[in-house]
Formats: sequence, C-alpha cells, structure tokens
Amino acid sequence: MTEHMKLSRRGFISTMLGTGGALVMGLSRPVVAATLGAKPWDSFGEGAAFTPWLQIDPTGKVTVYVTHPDIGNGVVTQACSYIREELACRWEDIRAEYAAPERDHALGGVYSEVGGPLGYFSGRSTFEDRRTAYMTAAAGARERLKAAAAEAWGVDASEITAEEGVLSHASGQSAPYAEFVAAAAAVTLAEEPAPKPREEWTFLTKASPAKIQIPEIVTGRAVYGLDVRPPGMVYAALRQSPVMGGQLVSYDFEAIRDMPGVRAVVEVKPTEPGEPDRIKPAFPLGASVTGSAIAVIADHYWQARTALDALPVVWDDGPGAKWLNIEMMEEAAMAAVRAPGETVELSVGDVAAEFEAGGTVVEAEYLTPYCDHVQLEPLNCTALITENSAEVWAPAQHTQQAFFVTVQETGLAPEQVKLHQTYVGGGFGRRVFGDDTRMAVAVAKGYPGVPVQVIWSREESVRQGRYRPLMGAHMKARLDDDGLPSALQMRVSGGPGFFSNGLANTAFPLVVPNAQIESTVVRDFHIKAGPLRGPGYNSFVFFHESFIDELAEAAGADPLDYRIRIYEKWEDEGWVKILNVLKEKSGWGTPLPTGQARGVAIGNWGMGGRPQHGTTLGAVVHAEVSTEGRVKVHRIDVAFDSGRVMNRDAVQVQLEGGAIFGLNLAMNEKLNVQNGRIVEGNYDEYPLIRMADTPEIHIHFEGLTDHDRYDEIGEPPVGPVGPALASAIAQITGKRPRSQPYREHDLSWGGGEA
Amino acid sequence: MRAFARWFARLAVVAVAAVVAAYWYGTRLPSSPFDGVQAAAAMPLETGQYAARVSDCVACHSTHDGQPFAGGLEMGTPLGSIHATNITPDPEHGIGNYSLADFDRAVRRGVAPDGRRLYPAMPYPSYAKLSDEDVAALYDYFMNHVEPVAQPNPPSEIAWPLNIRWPIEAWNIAFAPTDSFEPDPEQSDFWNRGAYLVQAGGHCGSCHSPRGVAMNEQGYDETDPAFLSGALLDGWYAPPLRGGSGNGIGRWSEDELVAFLKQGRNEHGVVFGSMMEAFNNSTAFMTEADLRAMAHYMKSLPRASEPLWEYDETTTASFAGGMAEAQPGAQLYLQKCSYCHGRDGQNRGTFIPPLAGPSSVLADTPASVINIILNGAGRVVSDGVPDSYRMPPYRVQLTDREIADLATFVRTSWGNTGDAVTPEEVRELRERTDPFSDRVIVLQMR
Amino acid sequence: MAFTLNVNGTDMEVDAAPETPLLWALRDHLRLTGTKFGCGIAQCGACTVDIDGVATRSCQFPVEAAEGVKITTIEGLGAEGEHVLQKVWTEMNVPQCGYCQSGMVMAAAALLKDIPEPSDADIDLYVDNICRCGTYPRVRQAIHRAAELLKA
Repeated sequence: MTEHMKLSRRGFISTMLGTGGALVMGLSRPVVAATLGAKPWDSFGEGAAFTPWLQIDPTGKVTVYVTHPDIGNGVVTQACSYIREELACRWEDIRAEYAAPERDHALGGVYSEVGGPLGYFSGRSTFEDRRTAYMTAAAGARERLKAAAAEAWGVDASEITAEEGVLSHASGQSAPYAEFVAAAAAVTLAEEPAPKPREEWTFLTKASPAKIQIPEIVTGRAVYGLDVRPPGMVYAALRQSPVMGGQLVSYDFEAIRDMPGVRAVVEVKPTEPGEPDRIKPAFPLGASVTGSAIAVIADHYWQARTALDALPVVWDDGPGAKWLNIEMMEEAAMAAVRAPGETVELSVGDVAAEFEAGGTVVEAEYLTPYCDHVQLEPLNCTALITENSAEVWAPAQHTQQAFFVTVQETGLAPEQVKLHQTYVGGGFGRRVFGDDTRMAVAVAKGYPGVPVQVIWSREESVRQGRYRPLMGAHMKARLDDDGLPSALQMRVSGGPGFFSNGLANTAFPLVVPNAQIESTVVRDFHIKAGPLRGPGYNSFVFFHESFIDELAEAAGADPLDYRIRIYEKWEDEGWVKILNVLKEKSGWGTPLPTGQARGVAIGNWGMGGRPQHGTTLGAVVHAEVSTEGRVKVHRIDVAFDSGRVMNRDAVQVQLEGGAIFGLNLAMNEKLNVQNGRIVEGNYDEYPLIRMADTPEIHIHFEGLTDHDRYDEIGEPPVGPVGPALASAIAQITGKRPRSQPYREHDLSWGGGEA
Repeated sequence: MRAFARWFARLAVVAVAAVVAAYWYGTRLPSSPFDGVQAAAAMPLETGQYAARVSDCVACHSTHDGQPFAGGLEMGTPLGSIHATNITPDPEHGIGNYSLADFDRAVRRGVAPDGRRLYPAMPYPSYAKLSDEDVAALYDYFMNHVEPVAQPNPPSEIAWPLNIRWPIEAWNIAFAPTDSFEPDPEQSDFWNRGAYLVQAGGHCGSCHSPRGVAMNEQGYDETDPAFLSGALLDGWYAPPLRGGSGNGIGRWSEDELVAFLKQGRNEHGVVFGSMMEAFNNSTAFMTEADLRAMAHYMKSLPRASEPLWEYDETTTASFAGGMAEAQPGAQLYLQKCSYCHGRDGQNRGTFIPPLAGPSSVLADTPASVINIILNGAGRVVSDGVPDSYRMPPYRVQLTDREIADLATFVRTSWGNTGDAVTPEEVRELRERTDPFSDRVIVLQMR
Repeated sequence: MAFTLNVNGTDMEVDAAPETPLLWALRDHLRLTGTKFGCGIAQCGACTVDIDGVATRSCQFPVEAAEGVKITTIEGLGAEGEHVLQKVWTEMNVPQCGYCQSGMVMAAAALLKDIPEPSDADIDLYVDNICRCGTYPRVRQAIHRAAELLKA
C-alpha cells in the first residue's frame, strides 16, 4: 500500500492561503479536540486542522517541512529533492523547516504515520512511504499552479508546462510560480495527481545536490543544540553516577554557593521503576529513563562546570562496582558462549550430527568491546519548564521521541509541550532514545521558569554513553570435502540490550546446510548499551567474516574466491556481484611488497534474513604492518548494492565516512572499566583517525543490481571494513586479531625490529 | 689448616659478636625529649592539621580511593615494593597505642616502638628538624582528629634477607642527620622560618636534592651546595630550588614563587608531575606568610654558575611557509602542540606554560619532558577549584619514536639547551609509568 | 574581570574570570556560537580560531591572554560565505553533520595563508582536527581545489 493511498483514506490533501498569500500544501483532517485549546505551536493561518508539507510564498520561495533530523546524512536535502522533482521549482528557491512533533501529535500523527516508529527518525529518507508523501504534495501544488495559470491565460491546464519555477504555454504566455501562488491556493482539483513513475524522473537519481544547510554551516550560523540562546537562559553542568546504576548519597552546596555565577544545585532522582507511560512512545521509554544525577546551574557554562568540579559529592556506586576491570566482564561474556545458549535464534538441519561425523572442524572465539559514539557535539539539551508548559530545544536523532520523553518526564499534557529540533552535531545512534532530552528536562524541572541549557562535558558524554555492547562469540564449523562448511554453530553473548536481532543481517548461516545460532544475555552487566551505527551488525560481521577467513585458510582457498563459492548459494545476486567488482577494481591478487596485504569482507545491513533487502556491502582493505607491529591502511575499496541510489554524491560521502568509521571502530576504539566506572573520557585516550591516518578510499557503484529499492547507506560500510583489515593483518603477521580494537594486539612480526 | 680453622673460628666469634652488637644497636630505641612525657590536652584541630599539611603526610599515607591516612600506597624501590603504613589512631593496625615519644621516634628518627627501623622512604632525615612543638601538634592531630581505620598494612614485597630492618641503622648512622633545626643568627627570623619549612616539614630535598649511591640525599641544608640543586626521582625531574641566580627559579621573583606555591601557576610554569601532588595536597594549603618565607629562603640560596638561557626567535620563524623539509619533531610540534603552545613556545597568561626556557627542558635528563608528553598533567586544584587547562596524555596517540622526536625538538628549540631524546628512553618511561587519569585528586584529610 | 577582546575586527568587552577559556567567552559572553565546543582539551579542533594569524584552539586559551591580540572566528572569515574555502566547502558537499567544520575551515584558512599551494603532507600537518563523520577525503580535496582557485 502506498502512502498516497493512506493519505487519501485518512485525511484529504488540500491547500490553504498562508500568511501574506502563500500557497501551503498539506493535509486536512479532523482535529483531535483536546488539542485545540492550548495551541502552543506556531499556527498556520486560522485553520489549526491543517498540516503543511510544503509552502510556496508569494515570492516563489519554497519551504519543505521535514520530520527527519539531519545528522549529517543529507535527509533534509533528500526531502527537498522529492519536492524539486514534482514541483519543478528552482533548487535555489527551496528551504527546509522541521515539522513540529507537537503539531503531529495534535493532528493524530499526520507526519509520523509515514514511517511508523521511525516517522521522526534521522534516517531512511529514501524509503518509499516517505518519498510518496512528499511527491504527492508537490505534484498537487504543481497542478494547482498550472490550473491557476490556465484560468488566467484561458488555456487548458494540461498544455501548461512547469520548469525551473516558471509556468509556460505554447502561446508564448509565461510567468514565474510567484505570480499564481495566491490563486493556486484557491484551486480545487478534480483529482489529486499521482507522483511521477521513476522512469520520468529528471532530478531524482540524476542530480546530486549538496546538502542545503552547508552555507549556514560554513559561516557558523547553523544552530546546533549547544548554540540555542533563548532570552534569560542559564547553563547547567551535569554529573551522573560514575558507576551506572549508582545513587547520589550527599553533596555540599555550601562549598560552592559563593562561587561566581552559581545559582543552584539540582539533584535528579532516578526514574521510578515501573513508571506507567503517559504517552505512546516511538521506542519503549525504558531506554530513556534517568539515573541519579546532579547539576550545577550558573550564569555561564564555564562557571557551572568549574563549580561542579569543586562540588563535594558522595556516590553509592551500587552493584556495578563489582566489575573491577574490563577483563572480568570480557571473561563473563566469553564464559557465556562456552556453554549452550539460552535462546536458539536459528536452527537448520542437525549441527551436532555433522560435528560427530569428523573431518576438518574449525573453532574460534571473538570479542568486540564497549565503544562510544563520541559524536563531536557533546550531549546537551535546553529546556524551559513552567507549571503548565515545557519548551525544549533538542539536537535529537528522533524528534518525536524527544517530545514523548518531555511529556513523560514533566507529566504535562502533550499540548503543553513544544519541541524545537536543532541541528545535530553527530548522531550515530546516540541521540535516538531521548535519554539526553529527558535528563535535561529533569534538571530544568528543578530550576523552573528560565531556559536551562544542560551540557554534558566531553568526559561526561563519553562515560555516560549508550554503548556499542561488549559481545562475545564462539564459532565452530565443519568443512566438507570441497572445503565449504557443512555445519555452523555460533554462540553469542552480551549484556542486557545487546542487539541479537542483528543476527539476521547476514546470508552466511542461511547458506550452510546445517546451522545453529544461540544467544545468551549476561544479565549482571550494568553498563547500558544502545544503537551504534549498525547495532549488532558491526560486531556480527566481524565474527562471521573473520571466521569465514579462517575457514578459507583451513581450506587452503583464496579468501575472496572462497566467499564467492559460499555466497553464490544465496539467492541475492548482489553478494557475488560485489565480490567480483572488488576482485576487479581493488587490485586483488596483484603482488604487494613484504609487509603488505589485502583482506576482504562482506555483510548486509537490513536484510533481516531476506534476499533483495537491505544494503549489501563488501570491502577490500590494503594494509601494511611494520615489523614493530604498527598498522597503516593504504587503501579501502568499497562495492555495494542498495538496489539503486537516489543521490550519488550523498551516497559517495556517506560510504567514505562510514568506511573511516568502521576502520576506527576496529582499529582504535575500546572503553575500559575500573570498579564499574568507564575509564576513558576524552579523545586523548579514545583516539580517532585524523587526516594523516585516512587511507585512499574508492567507492565502486558497479555492484548495484538495479533492484527496485533505495536502501540505507549510513550503517553498511561500518561492518565489513574491520574484518577485512583483520584478514590483511593475519596474512602479514600470522597473528589474527580475534578481538577489537587491533591496536591492543602485539602485531610485531619477523623479530619485531624496525 | 688447623691454624686457618682457629683463625676462622675466631673470626666467626668476632663476626657473631659484631652482628649481635649491630643487631642490638639497630633495634634499640633512641631517646626522645618526650620520653616519660604525657601528651598535653587536646589542641584545636587547625594546629595539627596545618602541621600535617605542611609535612604532606597524606600524600604517602593514603591512596586515592582509600580512607585518609589508612596507608596502603605502594612505593616501588629497587628491592621491591613497600607500602606506606596506616597512621590512623586505630590501636591494632594504626598508631593508636603510640605514646608521644613513640610517635616522635617514628617521625624524627625513623624507629617504630618495637625498635624496627623504618625504610627511609619515610623522610625522617628531614623531619628530624621538626620542632618539638610541631611534633606534639602532629601527634595531637593524628590521635584526636583523625578517624581510626581498621585497615591492615599490606606486607612489603622485599624478600629475605633484604627485608631485615636493623641494618638500616648503619645507613642512618652514615647518612641521616639527627640534629634539630638551628636558626642561623646571621639571618632574619623571616629567612629562618623559610629555612625551617623547606628543610623540615616541607622536606623539599626529598625530591629536589640529588641522591648518592645509597639513595642518600646530598645535604640537608644550605651549607651543602648540592642541597636542592635538582634531581631525578620517579620519572620526573625536580629542578633546582636554589634561586640566587641562573635559570629556573633564578629568573623568578619572590612574588612569582609565592604565586606558584599558592596558585600552582605563574607565567613561568604550572605545577605538574609529583609537584602537582605536592601542591594539591600541601603548599596550596599553606599560609601566604609561610610561602613568602620559603620563597625568600630559596631565593637566597646561591647557585653554581650555568649557561644562561636566552630566547631564540629563529624557531618561531622556521614555522612559516611550509614544513615539508622540516625535521619530524618540528612537524609533530606543528601538528600536535602549536595549537596551544603556539609557534613561539611562550606562555599564554598563567594557564598555558612556556616551553621556551623552563628548567625541565634545559635539564640534563629529559624525563619530565617525556613523562608529560606520555602521561599528561593532572588537574591543579587551587582554592578548592580544579583547573581545566590540563596537558593531555599522548601515550595512546604517539609512538616512542614520535615522542622522542617531539621531545628532542622542544628541548633544542627557542634557545633551549637540552639533548636529543631517544626512543629507548621513551619506551623505558612508558613501561614504568601509569596511564593518566583526569580525575581530580586532592586527598581529603578527614 | 573585564577584558577587551578584538574579535573579527571589533573591540568587545567580556566580563569573566581570567582563566575562562576564550571559547566560552566567545560562545556564551559574545554569543558567537560558530566556534564549537567538542572536547575542552584541545584534542578535536572544533574550537579553532585564528589568533594573530595562527590557528589556535580556543578551549585552552585563557581570556587573560586574549587582550591585545587579533582574534578571527568563523563568523569573521566570511560573514556571507564569500571566503574561497566557504565556497568550495559548499560546492563540494564537504560537511556531513557539520559540527567540526568551522574548526576545519579555520585550520584550512591558516594553512592557505602559510602555504598557498599545500601538499597532502602539509594538509596532514595543519589540519589535525577530528571529524567523527569522516569527511577527511573531501576536506583534502576541497583544500586543493581552493588552492587552485586562489592561484587562478
């Protein structure tokens, strides 16, 4: 069912005359009665029942209302591209605005029903439902403009063409859209036009516009969460229990009361367990609950932060303090995979019988550590709470969830809450659940009446993360006489909230005749996990693909050819196509100097066990390891199949950035734990790749199968780059890194001298 | 043969007698002016607390996460690790049963009540100069104002026979002065107050005086030219505190020296390494008058002549217009350091210290330069407020060779006269030093 | 304490403690929020400003030392995006989330002032900023392109 049909059924597309005579395209529907009274949002004209998707003002400038916050992936630009395709306006005339979640709520989910729980999520902008909604609205606007011009010129609307913001007729009549905006708003069409079929697209998939917000970014005008400055705003510096799950025992405000600018200390109590939901959230609210925290409020952030550092605070660490170091937790994760798992995720054939049959059996254990998103903009949020209203400015990755948690934390009615989406200084999954918004609202509640900007220091941001989970895996396979696996057993483990659902994001177990996958949750891990650029996937690809590499080695086969033999059994041709592209383009098989090698890996983000779903992506990493063990990556080749691509350049930069992200995750990133606390706090101890470390990256579009989908691009490269590098390292040094990050391994070889 | 056996037997007898005598001497209790003296009535908290801050007892007798004065801090020695002891008034594990005289013998003579000699990691050769009043104040503080903690002392890791204590008495006889502080009548009371603080409680010489082959400090007062002439200890170079002339504090005014000890920083430098700990736990708590006296004393100490550092502008100029041909250390400096320390290596107010000219870069040993690049600086806590201008550690980001190149560049630029640094020197310190922590560390005394 | 800072060619008054980092004086006192807070310990470069011609990380530059120098922030580089780097950044779709980019641009601007035709190695040395999105390949290409435009 397309969105067009949904729209027609649940409301009716209409226009209205906006302020100053603008044409506003949108959806009208019966208003949810209770919301009419408060009306805290900016109203469009008189009819609160109207939800705009786009507006054309009398000068011809076009505003697109976007639900997806742009976290750097270009989703706002993508929404504008849909409008451009159907409206045929000038690209320079388009601007975008975020569609307020309170309006969505008041109108019964008119925006968010397009996309379900991900309606206000920062990704998936190329999925069909979203696309159809924008294109339907834009096509309606275009036809109304034509109808208005037809009326004025006394010609048939079907003879009028719309191009680059200009309406013209063969008779020589021609006028910019601006001229007919007001008239168009009054037009009623006999039938709403359907969006163009893709064969007729002239802009989508053809043009590659750069992100429309870049002029604001490069002049410093873009307003991120930390940049909002509502009148009267004060600042809060935040500290949460250093051991997650711990509790504040006491603090001594007197010690800092007289410090410059200090206004107050606010204590935040942990959310009551079992608190009932006050609103139906996009994601379960359990992921956003607040822990014990304290905040110092001052006139300026520097004052607040300095006073917080000087504030004597006593914490009760709670049970998490029993984990004296990360090795203890790693051992617990590995112990869990050395026994049968508590949940059978997949079971095909008879694995046990195959192992009993003897022959070549390969076993290996793998581990991935806790990692933080370390997005460049530290967590923050600004909130103004009064007795009967809440206004929040959030750099959210899911605007609606930020709205929901504000309702939940304040106990206010939804129509008393107003949420402003700001620009987002990096997301990568960290700002999805709204725990940051909720904490800020909780602090601001304790200092009501003025806007409070709550800022996590970098250290606080890193140490209070929702991390890529620590995960262990035990892999075992039996090889048949042809060298291919006849049986595969995989046991995985992680703390509560680890992403076992990502297990379905590979074809590997689906092409082995006998396969069993089991998972176990290590329940007493107190450290919180969350989605991090390909949750689950970025560990599972490492496990699967490293293991396939070991099988290839046991079978004496070339790692790339071996993968072709495995994945040619899978009914999605994209896998083999990608591997062949990589073989051709990466220089695979051409000789390299001693100390250098190429490794390959492949994975799929989003397939969920189905062929022709998600984005399949393969990478070849060309690396060098010095005899002392220092790794340098020279080149990464990436080939992928997302079906088709909408904006080639947007895909190119996402894949480049994602490859670098995946490389860093595998090579550098790990959080340590000491007495339950996260040790690393800043980029000095948690190193990131910089310009000088960045390899040459080649993105190959030849792997695309032209299957009818425009699947996701952000997550896919993060998985395969790591195992491909591990393979190269193993070939050079004879030492296979079975845990990340590789920098922790002694990779010296050949005597180790420089 | 028989003659030899007789000779040997005689020798054995003499040797045994000598050992018995030495054992007796090495376990006997020296006298104390407080023998038979009952401690006076309890004093105000502040009296003894100040004495304890000046003497910085807490720095060694506590761990970062432990109770104040409960001991347990591990100290590496060439023979193995030892641990600072519990000096809370707990009767079983601490010093609860100590008389004032027992306490005095431990502090000023390094002798436990049972006659066991303390390892001279305890700076009793300096504390010997403490006044009777200060010893009584310290005793009062520990007995009446410190919470007892029933925490056992960890055993030392020094193996038999090296763990036998009585031979330490021989070291004491050879190296540890027992004289009390004698004011110099030629000098002002102000000067003498400074001398007393520096030599006795402050035990500045423990780090800043060079040590001999037996780890003995070379001199305990200004009469020895080696006293406070700079030393290398625990991976940090403690620069000369003789400020009469020359580089380092020779170029500082008394006011600047006072600011350094009171605020932890001035335009010449910021406390780091072991001095950051001494500052955070001790000098930051001292009165302005006492710090002035210390500064006055230090500035009065003459110093052997040395080549004077002069700023050389050519380094700064060399950064302009392309670094492709520059040495790797200069490139790394531009890439990693110049954003804060500038191309000129000069201070930025009192918060970013200069790299041009300070003692640690001019010293013969590169230890401090390597150590601070590897491990960064801790947080300086001034007036109870931790600063946020900390040098980040580069242990994870830079290799031994890169740090060596960088340290070499810094030590040879802007007129600095240090030597080149080798990757081996970096590797050795990397292995011996702990990863850095950005946690605020001020040891609480209550 | 009151300090007079020369920012983007204008003298501005800031009343702050002497140790206040320039970053916060710019962002909170002067409301010039284009200069970003990323780490606070001069590791990421998001707070890079130009001080007397040298790229400087303002989060570790005390306001007490900021008098008597000329400070240029991203807002002063080209208020309307007229600087060549701002133009190529836009054309070449360099930023992703964009948060680190004012620092990147300021570092690149200092580089081009010193070395009008930088090599890849020069770029490695001068632009050591962190970008979590991984825009490095584009930043490099854009700097080369800007150098070409400047030469022409």
